[in-house]
Amino acid sequence: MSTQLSLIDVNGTPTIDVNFADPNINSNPYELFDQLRELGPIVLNSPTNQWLVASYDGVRTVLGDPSRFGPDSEFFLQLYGGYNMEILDKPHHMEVRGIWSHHFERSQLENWGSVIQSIVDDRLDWLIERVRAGEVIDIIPKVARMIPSLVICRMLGIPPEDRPQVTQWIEGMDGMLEAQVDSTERGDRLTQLGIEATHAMAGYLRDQLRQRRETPGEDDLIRMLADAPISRDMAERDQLSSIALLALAGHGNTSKVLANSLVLLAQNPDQRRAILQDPSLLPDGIEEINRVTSPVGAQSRVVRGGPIQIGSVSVPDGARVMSLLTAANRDPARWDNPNQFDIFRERKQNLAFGFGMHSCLGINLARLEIKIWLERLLNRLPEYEIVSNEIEYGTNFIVRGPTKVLVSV
Amino acid sequence: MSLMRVAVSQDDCIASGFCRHVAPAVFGERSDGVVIVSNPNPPEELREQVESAVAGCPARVIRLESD
Repeated sequence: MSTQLSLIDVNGTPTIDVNFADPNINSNPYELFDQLRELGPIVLNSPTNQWLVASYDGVRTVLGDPSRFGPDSEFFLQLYGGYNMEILDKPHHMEVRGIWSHHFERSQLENWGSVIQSIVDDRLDWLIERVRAGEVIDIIPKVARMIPSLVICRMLGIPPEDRPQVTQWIEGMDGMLEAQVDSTERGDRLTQLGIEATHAMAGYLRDQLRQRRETPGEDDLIRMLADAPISRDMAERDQLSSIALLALAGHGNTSKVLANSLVLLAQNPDQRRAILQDPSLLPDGIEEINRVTSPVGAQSRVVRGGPIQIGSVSVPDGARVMSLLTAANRDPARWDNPNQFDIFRERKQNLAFGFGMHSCLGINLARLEIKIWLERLLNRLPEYEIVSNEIEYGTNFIVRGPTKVLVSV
Repeated sequence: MSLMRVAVSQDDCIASGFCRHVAPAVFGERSDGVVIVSNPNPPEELREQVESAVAGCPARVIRLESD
């Protein structure tokens, strides 16, 4: 399916008109990305008034220069109800991030390996029992979405009976992310639902935080903030938004990668066989899965410190610039045959986890979850098959990945 | 007395800034935020900071060797 992008020149500004909420785009955006890159280093998308950067070098430049491409406070204050790492500047940003940076160190996360494995195995028990009895199961609701949710809620110390409600609020907030690139009425509705979800989540987290402060107990991500001296200087709404960020970030993106990893291996049986025979291929395989999946479709920044020249284009002060990470990870200037999934290609850093001061805090948690997921899946259900003409990708371009994957044996 | 040698893989760095934050006397940054090792042979009293940077680097690009 091919859409020819038409470029309009509006007073010297290269301008396009694309609706990223179009499910046809979301299911296969790669030709569009190629066209975007060919139009120049940056183009203005008129329906959303957002400036798009789709090249590897371009995204690195934007994300690597927070002094000129600052946080999108307007959007994220609405999403989270307060300031958190995503929109804080130096030096406060690193002080808050520091509350949890030890927990998210790779060597520390290895202590969580057996907990993560028991969560993965429990979900695989559920799946395997059904598919080996002949059922065809969509792995999204009860497997791919549940695993990261169970992991992050466990780390947060959310009581198991509250997890379904928390997950529902997270989904509401995901809708607000989706609405970032949807300038239609539907986008407005998603935003409204998201605002309600954020408020409800904040109320819940307020109680959780109070409980941690009043009652000693096992360490968890909420208690780490409760106990952190810096939290005494933080407004309550900023403490709550900081916890909400961890919950949100730990849910959707990883679930998309877990689901897509199944799809990619099914679509590339020779590489799937190679990993089965040689598990040492898994780490590089996971990096390639991350590159190709790249669930975060766009990261927004706002130009500050005056207009900025990008190529021949002058981008105004205050302009909203969207770094298209998924597109950047398919840039032929960096990778040969970039749309080809190839676990054997030369290993090169990619932008799936962002770049710069706001790069993903949970990067090694994500990698660990994916690793344990694939190890256990390939060990326990190596014969899985997917119904490949029924994979759906939904409408969320910002947290992007399969929304339906039918598995059988 | 062991000598520390610190090296990084700049190509894999994602410029999180974590190493600079925990060991500012050892790590600096390029204009694009990518790490540079400003002090490749740091004194022993900085060992804890350097080890913290190694452990905390999200992209795992820092190597610490001791003689």
